[in-house]
Amino acid sequence: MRTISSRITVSAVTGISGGIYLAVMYMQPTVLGNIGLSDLVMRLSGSRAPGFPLTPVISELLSLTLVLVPCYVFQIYMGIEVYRSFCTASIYVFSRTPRRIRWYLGEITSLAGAALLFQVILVVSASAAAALMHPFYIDTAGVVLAVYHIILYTFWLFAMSLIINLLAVYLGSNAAFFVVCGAQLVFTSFLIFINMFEENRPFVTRFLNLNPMAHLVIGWHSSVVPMLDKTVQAPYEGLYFAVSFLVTAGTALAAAVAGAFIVKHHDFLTADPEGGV
Amino acid sequence: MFVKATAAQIRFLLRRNSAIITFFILLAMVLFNFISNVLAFQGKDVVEMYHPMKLLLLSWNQTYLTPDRTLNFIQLYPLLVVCPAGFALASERQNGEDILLAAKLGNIRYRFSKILAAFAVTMIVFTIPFLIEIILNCLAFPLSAAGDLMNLNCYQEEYFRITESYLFTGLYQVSPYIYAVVLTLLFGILSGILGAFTAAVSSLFYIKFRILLFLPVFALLNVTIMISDWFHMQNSSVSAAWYSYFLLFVDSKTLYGPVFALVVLLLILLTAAGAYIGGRKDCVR
Repeated sequence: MRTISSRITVSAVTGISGGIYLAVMYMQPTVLGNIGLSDLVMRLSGSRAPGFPLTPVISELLSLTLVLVPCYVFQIYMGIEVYRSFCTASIYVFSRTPRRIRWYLGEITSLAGAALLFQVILVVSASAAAALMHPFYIDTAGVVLAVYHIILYTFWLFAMSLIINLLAVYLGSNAAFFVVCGAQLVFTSFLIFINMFEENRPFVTRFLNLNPMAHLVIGWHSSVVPMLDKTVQAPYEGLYFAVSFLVTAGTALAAAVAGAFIVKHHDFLTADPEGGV
Repeated sequence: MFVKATAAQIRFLLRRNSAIITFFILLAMVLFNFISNVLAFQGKDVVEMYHPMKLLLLSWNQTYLTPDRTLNFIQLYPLLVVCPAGFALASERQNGEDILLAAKLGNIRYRFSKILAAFAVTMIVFTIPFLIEIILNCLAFPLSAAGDLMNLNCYQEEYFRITESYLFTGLYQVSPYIYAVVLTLLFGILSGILGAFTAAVSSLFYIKFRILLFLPVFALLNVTIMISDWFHMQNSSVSAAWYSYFLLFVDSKTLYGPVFALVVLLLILLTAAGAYIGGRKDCVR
């Protein structure tokens, strides 16, 4: 019970502080002097202003990393939530838990819940802070985009946090975080190739679909719904919300299945990975 | 005793997987940059060729032509800098080695020697690959080449204005090669301070999961970019971003060297305080 309450506290504190930070740093009013929900949601993934989506140049990609800092902080904390049971008194925990898979399902449900809570709080607190600072309005497309943003980022955060937990069982928490967070940062840097090969449209489309970080940039997405397509005005073709949902959800599912296998077959008569050299 | 203990700690930390892997990651990045440059500029006329030092991985000037490699390095640096020795104290605390060493050396002496070793190891790991790149560039590219990757003529007034905004511009005007070597060493020292700072945090607080030790440096370096973004929003040209002070040939931004030096000094004092306060704590848990 204490673990669940601490997860809720961490999600709430990181979400609120992250939302306020994003609102203060990135939610400037438009030329009309106001800011809409759709614009706010797109700025949560790197866009600069309405009609100015994230440009893959060095300064804006570094800004994208800064926008994602609250998510990385969340990953640092949640990246040890399942793994901690494998460290301290793991024999004690698992001797009282004969059905490991059931325990694991409970743990990952709680992790997914924390990721969802964090994203909802982040979007709500960013909107509230933006509304306090500038004239703020809620548009229909904004509500749909906010829901899309929450779903995409929840899947992604859940998958990344779970992968850190699972790798930590073998590598230790520091190495696991370095691998997972390092991969996300490298994929973010690779987005610069879009700018370097902008003339080659088929390459850009393939690249957008293959780079996992591109799926997180709401301002680059096309939609079959005309209202969303008109609001987002994606600068590139071929990156659809449906594909991004599939990629992030697929990664989360694959991590969850791999985790079940690892948890079921893990031998506890091994050294504590946190104590190793 | 203290010097002997520190030397032993350095030798021990340099043999650890985390230091070796970080060294080879950096070496791979450096070699990739060097090979890409050789392939891109082979056969280029010396008159059109860029200055060899401006093609280094640590050179901001390179971002005007091929920004991907330097961007990759900037992104990974906050994680990499912690790896060679930042976890040293925390892992010894977890497996109980600290009690043995503190009993032999004295707790405060043990902490200081460990943090000094963390500084030295991080500095070594973050200096040697980049010094190797300087040597390779000197061997592979014509030393008389003077081109700038912003494609400015070295007689243009704009070029003079830009080079005058470099940190340690006097050194650059004496010789870009000496400038590159000195700033690479300075980069190593700054990296060492960040590595030692991480170790000091683990001396001050009991941190069970080493993943949490990424947070102080990751937050600190990203906060500097946030402050820089905030200055940018206020239409100020001041750059507070860490990479403006850590990299070579950073231009066209207002840099405040004394403020940066003050921040570094504060970091050193915090590190020393962390070692001292941690050393006064009881080892028995």
